[in-house]
Amino acid sequence: MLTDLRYAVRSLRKSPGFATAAILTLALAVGSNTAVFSVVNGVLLRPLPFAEQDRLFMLGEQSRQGGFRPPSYPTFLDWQAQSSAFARLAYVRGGGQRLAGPDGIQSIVVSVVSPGFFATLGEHPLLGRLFTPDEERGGARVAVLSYALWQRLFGGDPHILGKALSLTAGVYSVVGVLPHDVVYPPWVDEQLYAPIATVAATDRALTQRGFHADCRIIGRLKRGITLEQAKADLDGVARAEAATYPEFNADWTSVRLVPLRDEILGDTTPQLLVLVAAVGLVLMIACVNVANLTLARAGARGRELAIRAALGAGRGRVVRQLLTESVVLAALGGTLGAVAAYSAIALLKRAAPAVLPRLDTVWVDGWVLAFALGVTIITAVATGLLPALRAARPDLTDSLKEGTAGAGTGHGRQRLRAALVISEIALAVILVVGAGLLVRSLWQLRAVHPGFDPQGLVTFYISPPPLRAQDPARLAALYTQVQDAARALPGVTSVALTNFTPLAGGGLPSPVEIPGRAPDPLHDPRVWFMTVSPGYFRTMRIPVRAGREFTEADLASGTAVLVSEAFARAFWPGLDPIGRQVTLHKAVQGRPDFGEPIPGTVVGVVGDVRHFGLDAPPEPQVYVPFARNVWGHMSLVVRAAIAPAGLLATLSRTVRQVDPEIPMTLSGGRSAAGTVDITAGLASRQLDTWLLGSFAVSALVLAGIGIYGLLAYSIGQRRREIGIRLALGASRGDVVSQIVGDGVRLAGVGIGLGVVIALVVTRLLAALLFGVRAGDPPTFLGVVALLTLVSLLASYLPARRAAQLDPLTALRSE
Amino acid sequence: MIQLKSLDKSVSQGNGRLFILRQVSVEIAAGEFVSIMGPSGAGKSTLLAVLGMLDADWTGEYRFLDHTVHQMKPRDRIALNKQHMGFVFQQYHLLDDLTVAENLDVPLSYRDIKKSERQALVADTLDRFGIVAKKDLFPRQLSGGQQQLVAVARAVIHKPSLILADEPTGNLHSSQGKEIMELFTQLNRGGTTIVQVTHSDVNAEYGNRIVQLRDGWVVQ
Repeated sequence: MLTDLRYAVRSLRKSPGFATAAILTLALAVGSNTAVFSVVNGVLLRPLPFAEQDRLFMLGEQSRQGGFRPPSYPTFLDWQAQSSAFARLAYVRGGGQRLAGPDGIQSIVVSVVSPGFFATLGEHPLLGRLFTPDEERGGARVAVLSYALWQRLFGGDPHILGKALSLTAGVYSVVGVLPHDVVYPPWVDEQLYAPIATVAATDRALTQRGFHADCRIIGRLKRGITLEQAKADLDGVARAEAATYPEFNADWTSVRLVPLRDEILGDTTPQLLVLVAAVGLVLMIACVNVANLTLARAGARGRELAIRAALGAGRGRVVRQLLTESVVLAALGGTLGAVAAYSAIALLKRAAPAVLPRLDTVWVDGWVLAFALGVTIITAVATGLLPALRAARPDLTDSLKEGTAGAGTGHGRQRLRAALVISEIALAVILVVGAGLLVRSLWQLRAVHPGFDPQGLVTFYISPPPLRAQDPARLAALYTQVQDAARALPGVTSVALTNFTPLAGGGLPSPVEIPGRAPDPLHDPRVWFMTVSPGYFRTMRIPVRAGREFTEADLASGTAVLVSEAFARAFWPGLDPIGRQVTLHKAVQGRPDFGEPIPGTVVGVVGDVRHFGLDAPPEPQVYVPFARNVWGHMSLVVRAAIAPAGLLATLSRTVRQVDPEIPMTLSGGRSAAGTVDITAGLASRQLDTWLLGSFAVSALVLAGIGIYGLLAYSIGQRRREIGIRLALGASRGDVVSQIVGDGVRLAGVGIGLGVVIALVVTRLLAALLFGVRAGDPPTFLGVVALLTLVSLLASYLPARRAAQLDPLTALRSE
Repeated sequence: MIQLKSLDKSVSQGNGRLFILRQVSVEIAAGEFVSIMGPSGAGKSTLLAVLGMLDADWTGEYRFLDHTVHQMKPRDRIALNKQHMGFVFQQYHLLDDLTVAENLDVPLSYRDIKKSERQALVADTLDRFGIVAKKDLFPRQLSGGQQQLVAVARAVIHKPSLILADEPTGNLHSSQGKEIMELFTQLNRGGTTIVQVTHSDVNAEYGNRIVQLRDGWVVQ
């Protein structure tokens, strides 16, 4: 064995070109596969940090029409009291609170949790402890920090335990820090947890049966209880609730249980599986390529192998020697690939921190290294076995004859190699079509108009101190004051207020009543409740399609509302909406007037806005003057004639001057002032496109190398033939066109095969596409053109070299 | 037909140059049958390659018919080769993957000749050289003499005015060699100029003139 190893190393050193090409190809394949596997392992395969995660579920109410919502806190308490299927049930509600620190006031997300929340999850602290039952029930002001919050706010201070934090709800003492992995609920990474009892007296939302926002319910199934049993148990409770509280729960007669894992990982699973498939294709292409190079080399070594056979080497012995070379190559490529995977993971973590859950904790561990080793062994066998068996076939003498018969190039081997190149091109076509479809989707998305003009728009998130937020009139006055101060800034052309800026993720669906129209819960779309100031549509450049915009007079009195075109289409198709009546309901959490009706008369219709992303179709929106239901926080939208960068700091200073207690920093360390990036929501698609695109480029390069390698090798074998042709009058052009023709014919078969397979396979991508079909003809045509171009280039290079062959030398060398 | 004047051919070797042909001045008239002779390494095959325009890396003057070859571009030299010359090699140099008929078609395929015309020419040549029965055989199915016969047929199929033959009988036994030389004589009588490189005095006697080379110099 050692002798084989020594021969293998010596033999590879003799062919540095071959060895380098093979090692780099394998490194690319092993590296990309290891990097993707490490992400899959870290995100999908590694268990969540919760004990017996299979028994953990997120629970919500389900309506007869299929709607889904988290239950109100009173409903949760009823569930907890009446259900017997769960070992534990827990409630968590998140909200912004103000944290006073040496650097000023900032807004953080505080999740208040019902007793037993951490026990339900089965979570353990990294530092300190979690809440005791006494603290949970007695309302002790104790806090547990998420890892990310601990890191950002306190620099990972190991002496954080016992530190007092001044929050809106009072002063809390830190008792523990959670480990660095999944954060639940998954709304943000930076959270502070506190017992719900500490806010029960002040947070009115906890007493409202009609309140269903910003909360989650989780449950841990009792051992031996099935999902169906648990559902049947809670469905009974839900039906009873519907009967007891018909005004809140009439239609909500069942319960849906979502595995916690699915909720946390969201649509990451299909997204990662696409990448696994793509990177698997790269691996296959690389293996085919190296196998092809090895075959070519084995062909060129026919004489050496024949001599070995003649000297008594059995078939097994020859196979072993050739396989040893492949193992050496794969080991070198695998090592290089594992090193490359390290860098790739670091790059991925920098490029896409917020796109994938748990990405922070992805790293190369024992499993990943075992995977890399496994891939390396597979590539060694895949690339070495076929050529070894082929080279070590019993009729070595025939092989020898083939190699020396002149213009004959060993037809069997040549056909096998051509088949390998064809399959390689077909695989590349599949990958490039996939990447092409994603690129086209991204293009289509970038071309989508969001419904407003984001250029030169600056926003400021205003989260006033809670005391000021108690009194709507005072709060409205504060917002107006901030708005006026911003309007006075030099360069500012218009300013307005809104409760939710588009594409920022926030929104509140609201029930709408229309006189003379019976609600149709099964078909009625959700309506999004927007409160805005006069001038909002002018500032955002949202067109007013009919009627008028709000005026200052609408703020003070009257019933004016505006609706979006989607709203008009949904509720009054073909009719003029102007002058029609709608009734909305006050929706500010915790206010005594929550749920009170807001009568409205439509005075205008405005253009649709893609509020939740360029890839989400516009949904109906109804706009109410902000003073009629003053929100606890608002966003200021400012359009200026000067560059946003200069305006951001000025705007922050201005707001501070109006009220120094308005936080300048939000949860996650984001500045309250920002610009509108309409492509921010496309980060996940961009990552997919980038990754698949880079795999496709690798595949293209490898396919190109495959064609080049095959032709270059075949030209080496055909030197004499080319020499004769040149001597018989062939021009250089004749030689080039003959060889390029060979390459393009080969590529043509591969491309055709790839297109057929891609037509089937790309259907799996349908969920990731936007504005293009899986069989999109321009993409397919583009890929065919691209692959043809690559094969032309890959064929032209060796063809040009062949055309420069000196016929005399070629003929003499025989 | 051919006029060479002070033709030099050298290749770099170390710091200096190695001369393969030196001051070669030769004239060959149309209809001649010339044998180039000399010991191994004398430059015979190189001179043949220069004459056949397979080698363009030389200095001096070369006139072919009314063309001044030394002033012509490589592309024009190839055109001249295509139009007027045919080659016969010692190793036959038939294409192993092609049948006899296909081999004959190769030179025609590089000349602007219609397919139907090419087929007629191939059929005619097969008949003329008595190898119709062998038209579908591959070179490895033929004897050495038969292969060289096909090679000669291939060299003359496009009716060149000059045949350049490099040791045409070197790989053949004497009776086969004799047949080939008689074929050349026949072609020469038909008006084709023939220049052959040979070691054989017997073969040289088929020609009407001998050019002796030694160390790149023409000595006779």
